[in-house]
Amino acid sequence: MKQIQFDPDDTKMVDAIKRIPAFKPLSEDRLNEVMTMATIRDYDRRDEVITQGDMDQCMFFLMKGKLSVRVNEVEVNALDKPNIVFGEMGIIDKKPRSASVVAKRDSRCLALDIGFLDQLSGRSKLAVQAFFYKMFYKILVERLRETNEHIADLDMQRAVLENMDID
Amino acid sequence: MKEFAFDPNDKETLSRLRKMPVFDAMDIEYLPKVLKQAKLRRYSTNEIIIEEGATDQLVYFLILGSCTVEIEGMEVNIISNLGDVFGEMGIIDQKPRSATIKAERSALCLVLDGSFIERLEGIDKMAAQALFYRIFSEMLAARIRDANSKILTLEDQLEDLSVQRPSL
Repeated sequence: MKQIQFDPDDTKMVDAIKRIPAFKPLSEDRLNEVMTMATIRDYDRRDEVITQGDMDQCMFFLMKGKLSVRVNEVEVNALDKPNIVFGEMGIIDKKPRSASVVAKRDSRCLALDIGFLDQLSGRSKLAVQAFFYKMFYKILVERLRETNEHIADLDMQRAVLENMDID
Repeated sequence: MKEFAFDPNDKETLSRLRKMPVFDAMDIEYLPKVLKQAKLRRYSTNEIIIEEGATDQLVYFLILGSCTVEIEGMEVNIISNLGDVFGEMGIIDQKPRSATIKAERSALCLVLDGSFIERLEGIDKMAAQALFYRIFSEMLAARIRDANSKILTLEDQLEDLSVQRPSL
């Protein structure tokens, strides 16, 4: 894994970040502040982005590539939609990672280390915190809706199977 | 349902509110600014609080009583703890309500419009916004974890069922 620091003068990088919906509302100045917590990480195939069981404080946005979500070495999901968010749960409730995320091919992610939220100081601190927590909240609302739909779908499948004759 | 304004001299309700994580962590000076936007609502037994499919944007904090959560007429959950929050997804989007919430017995709720966080004012506005979003995020994270373990259970059950029915 190679790590690149955010460079506000690199317009290509700034544009790529601005395409992530969560960052769209940020002004240039605010984006620069928020990006002090960000690194861009390039992963080679088979590199681990997140390790199951670890406690870390990063959330990620997939900028390009394809990732595999694995629980106990078994793939449960693949992530390849650009700008998709992952790893946001651990930073909210500070529990160990419930899955590993592994690069399926060369991939680039934006990583936000939320540990920095507490280390911020000065006038912008509260504004940046408010921005982040609102962003989490939006992401989690979306996540909970997806999860609830998944449950409803599985419930339905179970009902169909249970009502089927065995013969 | 009876709706009334929050009375800042109502010590009993205030002390119950201070037992809720979000109001407990809030600066005591700032609390009245939030409560100014709030209403109290008392519901009688079996009265509907939120109706599945409706598109209102209110957020509820349970102060007293208990409520049932129903989806398509099936009870899926009970809300009975002081400070339990429901309807909070309306803060972000205006999608239709996904469940009906009914007062199981008489219930008292603190009600805020979903846009209240954005409408907070004063010098401590940012601190209060950060606090609300943080605590609501923690709450959602807990719900997502519960939902994820439910998914795992259901997937196991489905696997068992399809083994019993090999024709599938």
